[in-house]
Amino acid sequence: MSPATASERVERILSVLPWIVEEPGTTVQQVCDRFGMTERDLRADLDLLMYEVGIHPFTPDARVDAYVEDDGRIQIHLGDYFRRPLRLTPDEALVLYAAGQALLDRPDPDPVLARAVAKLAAVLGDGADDSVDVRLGDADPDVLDAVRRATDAGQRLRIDYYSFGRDERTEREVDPLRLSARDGHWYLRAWCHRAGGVREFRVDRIDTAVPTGDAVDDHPNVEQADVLDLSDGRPVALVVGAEDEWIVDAVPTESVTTDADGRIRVVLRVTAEPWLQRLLLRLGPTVEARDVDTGDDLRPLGATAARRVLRRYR
Amino acid sequence: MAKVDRLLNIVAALQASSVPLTAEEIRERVPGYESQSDDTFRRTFERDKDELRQAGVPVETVMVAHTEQPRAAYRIRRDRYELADPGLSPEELAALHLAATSVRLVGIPVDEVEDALRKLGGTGGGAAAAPVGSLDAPDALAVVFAAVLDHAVITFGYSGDERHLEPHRLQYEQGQWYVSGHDLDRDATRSFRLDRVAGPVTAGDAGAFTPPDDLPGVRLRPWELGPGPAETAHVLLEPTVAASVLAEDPELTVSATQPDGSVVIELEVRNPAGLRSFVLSHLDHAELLDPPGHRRDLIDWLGGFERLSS
Repeated sequence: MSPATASERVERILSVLPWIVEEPGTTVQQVCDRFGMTERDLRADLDLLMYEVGIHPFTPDARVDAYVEDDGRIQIHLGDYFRRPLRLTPDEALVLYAAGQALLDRPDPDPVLARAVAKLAAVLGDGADDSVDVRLGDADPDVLDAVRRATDAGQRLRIDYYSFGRDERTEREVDPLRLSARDGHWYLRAWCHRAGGVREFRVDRIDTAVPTGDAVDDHPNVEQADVLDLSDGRPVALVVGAEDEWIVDAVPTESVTTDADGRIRVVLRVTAEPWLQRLLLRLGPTVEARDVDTGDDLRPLGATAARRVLRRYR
Repeated sequence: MAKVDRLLNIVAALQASSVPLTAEEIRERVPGYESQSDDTFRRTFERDKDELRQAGVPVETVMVAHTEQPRAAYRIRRDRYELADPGLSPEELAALHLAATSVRLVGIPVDEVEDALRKLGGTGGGAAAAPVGSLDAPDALAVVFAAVLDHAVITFGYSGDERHLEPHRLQYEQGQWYVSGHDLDRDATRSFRLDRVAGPVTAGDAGAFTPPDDLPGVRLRPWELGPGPAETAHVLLEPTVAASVLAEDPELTVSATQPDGSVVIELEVRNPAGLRSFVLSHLDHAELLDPPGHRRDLIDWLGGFERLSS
């Protein structure tokens, strides 16, 4: 915690002090445990309060009286100031409240956390009750729950997985390593026995997840392995009209430039053809698409996909 | 560390006074300034005020009457300074600590978790957790969050315009933060993506509006984002994609479920291009069944690719 800046130390003292005042006879050790402080920092704060702080005219009755007894108990007497902790700043309120809400968005929320978030909401303001929602990711609650349990318990799972990029459905046995959320999706990182390596699976594309009854194997040194390196894909340049600017936000791009005529040139890495086909179909027949390395015209890929989809309609 | 006691003494002086104090009055009451020249005092006092505000102390400036002309004076209002006691038990504090360490807001310093818990009464002795999720916190987030809680109107730049919004609801959905509410310029309900907000967001006075009972949220349905009357459309989804579409938007209307697991969903379409994009993103695992006009347009769109390759 040290060295703290002056304003950090002021914030710390104004936060901890009211709590000590409300708990007469609390000990140095208890305060340090509760607030994660070192004994040195706490004693320095108490010394400062004792000798330097109070109100005009700084007669003994107008000063903070703070000392530590031989048995470690702290005695503090204050005037009519520093009585309550400071309000939370917006950032402080946000980190607790948003994290709490995110973890409550599940079928079996922790009741203790639910109580804590409700109490926090009550002091944050009238609007906190139902006006802030955080959904870390979308997934079938049953599948997410099964994946979570297997990850916690170290159980092997049989999953029925739809690979969006390759447009294929496969059944595989996986040893869960880690479940996490980012960019609005839940991801299961697991050792895939079918692929013989670490893979990442988007949980909303897992149709069913059933424990096989086996425990997971030991997979040393896989935590850091790169799962999918986008730079492995082939570089593709698309030229789209200004009305299709959404593509810049919707897909990971390597570069985005605007041509003199206002059309947008986007370079992206493509690891699987069906993924590019979806994009071409959505952008329409006027989009230009080329392999950056070979210069090949990739529009026929879109035409092939279009023919396949049209078969449904005829 | 002479400065820390001076800062604390300013807080004590302002809290103990029933009226706002001018800089001169603070100088008389707080030790440490007495040996400074007028210039040095003014500069030091400015810095001290900044440091206090940085520590989260709401030092307000007000004008007070004086013999010749009004003067700036400073005060700390109790209701803006003090944290109401939420009465969190040690177990509840530990649960909040665990939550805030397992879900990280990228863009907000980690210390804020510790600072917040200290004000609330400590970490409850609980341990930190391994991170399970992270969400981006755009610059605008904290101000908008506070405005939603305080019922304050916010002003911000968006798509080249200045917008004024009564923020009713804040949501993190599909990887983005959205604020929804009453757009005062358009006199209509609107949603805004926070990462697209340009420049700083300013918030007006607290308690400026009463939000409606039924808080409208953001709609992430591309086929609904448009003007004009809605048309009903039906889309068949093969089992391969049905589950993930419904997981993403559990409130979709399912009008039929086939024995093989395919479903037909019913959509209210205001934006035909958004509908087309949604259907085609599922390749041949989805089919737009009706209305006939949109179905014909989709076939034409796909036909355009064939003409191109022939």
